[in-house]
Amino acid sequence: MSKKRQQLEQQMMAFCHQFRPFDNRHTKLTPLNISGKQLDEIKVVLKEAGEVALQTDYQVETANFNKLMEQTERCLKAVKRQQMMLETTENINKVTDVIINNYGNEASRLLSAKRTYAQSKQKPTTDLFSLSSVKRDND
Amino acid sequence: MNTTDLINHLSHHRTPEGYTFDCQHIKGEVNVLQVEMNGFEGFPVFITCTEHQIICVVYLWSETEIVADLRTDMLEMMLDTNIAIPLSSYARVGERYVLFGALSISSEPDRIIEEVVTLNENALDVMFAMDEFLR
Repeated sequence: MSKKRQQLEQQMMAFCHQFRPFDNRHTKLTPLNISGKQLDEIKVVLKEAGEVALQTDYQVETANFNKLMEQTERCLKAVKRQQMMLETTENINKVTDVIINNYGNEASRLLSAKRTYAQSKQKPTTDLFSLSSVKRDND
Repeated sequence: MNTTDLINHLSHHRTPEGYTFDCQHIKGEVNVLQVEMNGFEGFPVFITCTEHQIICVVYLWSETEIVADLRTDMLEMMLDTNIAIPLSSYARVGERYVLFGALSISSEPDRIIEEVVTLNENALDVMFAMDEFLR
């Protein structure tokens, strides 16, 4: 095994060890410990690993190496997915704050369809109640 | 698509049903677009973009507006009907219940218009069905 390949394998294993979402049943949506810089680094490692795998003649070793690459790709995908969920949660909370900060007292009307509905004459298209097992009071 | 492009598109669009749109950009820590539908007595839709998604939201009601004794019935009703509501889902943001639709960031403007119209229609159906759980 070449020294370069050994080094790449170690880096991939370290990354997968650092972030193992599938092993942790109590993973919560908290800020990740993995920085954007680290993510960029692992992407470079994967690219280099792909080039090394192409140059290797030994089938078994190549298969093992590819498997480790796939595992790293999965970890990378899981990190990206978790980042996306965190970003969306943060973003949507900020949206509410932005509306309140801009509209002041009027925001309560914009943030409650109930208030608008009370004055609306628009008729609904469907009675969703018919799709639910919950009974109406007057049933 | 950035919010300026979306405002331009929405402002000049008329749906086959004759709906047009008023758009307003709300400045703040995140970009928010407020869209109101003309020709339909609906609700303001707030649009925000993340790196991957476009999220369209209608704020329905807050915890304080729910009749306490009927809260469980309301939540059951929301679960029962969620899958039937086209393109939209319920969620809670802080203490506020919302109806939302999420689109890929690469969605064409026509898909966003479809989402705004559908959200309004869905929100109306939801308000009609949930009214008795609210005070």
